[in-house]
Amino acid sequence: MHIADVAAARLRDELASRRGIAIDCGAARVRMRSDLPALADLLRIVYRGYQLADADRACDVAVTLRRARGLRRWIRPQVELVVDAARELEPFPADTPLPLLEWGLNFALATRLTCYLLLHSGVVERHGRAVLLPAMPGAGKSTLAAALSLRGFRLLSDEFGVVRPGDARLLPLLRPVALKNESIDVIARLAPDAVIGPRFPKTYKGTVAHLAPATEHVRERHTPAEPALVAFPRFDPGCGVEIEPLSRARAFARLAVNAFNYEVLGPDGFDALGRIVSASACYQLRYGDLARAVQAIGQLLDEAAVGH
Amino acid sequence: MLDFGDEFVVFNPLSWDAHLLNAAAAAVLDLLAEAPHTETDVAAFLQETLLDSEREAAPEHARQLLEELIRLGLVRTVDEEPVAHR
Repeated sequence: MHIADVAAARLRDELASRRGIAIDCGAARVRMRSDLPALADLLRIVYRGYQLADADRACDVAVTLRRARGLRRWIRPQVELVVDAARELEPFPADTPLPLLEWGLNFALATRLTCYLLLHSGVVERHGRAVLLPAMPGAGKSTLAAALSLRGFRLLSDEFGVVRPGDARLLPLLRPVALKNESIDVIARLAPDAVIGPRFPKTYKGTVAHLAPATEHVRERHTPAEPALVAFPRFDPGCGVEIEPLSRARAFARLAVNAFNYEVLGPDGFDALGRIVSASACYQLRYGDLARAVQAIGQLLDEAAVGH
Repeated sequence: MLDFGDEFVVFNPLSWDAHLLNAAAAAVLDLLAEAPHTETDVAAFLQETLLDSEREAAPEHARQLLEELIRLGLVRTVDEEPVAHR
């Protein structure tokens, strides 16, 4: 049964239970717990294509979102984010539970999933060949990954390029895409049927809303892809699309800096990154026109197929 | 070492850092990985690969290159002879 079809009351109860709920995102299983009643309805929207996994089995990370105690809760309610068993940050306002949960999961995955090389990158694939979109926050990688996923590419992640050491294949770590500010309307216009959750204004990144991954992409969340194209995106409203080839050595250096845990893996990380870059055509992509950027990525991937 | 044509990326097994090298630096690192060589040997090696107009600068080029490789921790001196970390 998909999460969209689970009764809200049951989901609320399970979230509030000691074991919480478990969701299989592909490269990692995540556990979520919360005593916030509103969260269940939100999860039913943005995790709609997933099924509840067996919560008695071990999970890679666990995130708890709970109401803060104390008198302050009567004046301005706050929530605490607990990653595994540690409350690592001060309480947050209670009005942005979903962005906070997703952010907490990102933090947990980036710091706990050290068996893989983790790139800060969107990843999509077509015909088994992966496109990496590595970039720092604000460069437009989530928007581009979301648009590609709505135009014939399969989404693996908008945030994590999960590289399996050994064969350097890209593993999906599929979760809702966090769209920010103007990107929300851009994606809504691009695909009016796309399922986008409620908007949360006033987060530290502005207004945030989450695009639910397509159910067929969720179904394929254990299918890896071969690296074929690396495109470093940068949103620039002043240009249409500008593409510049990047040498593999330069691409390697930028990916190493961009990785969450390159230095943790040492020689295995070096080897995996070398395989990624050797197997890929590498470019810088500046874009202001999303539709043209999507088209350009498709063409670059086709050309990379000819080149290899 | 990863060979990307005219650029190379080398992994330092001691620091776990990766470094971008040009072809000359990569060739010198390979040379030193085989056996210790003096700065004079390295200059002679570079002289063979340089254009006629650049050969006079080979000793200075060798000195600068070895200084940089030592600074990066990719090469160390043994009895005053540079040796690559491998």
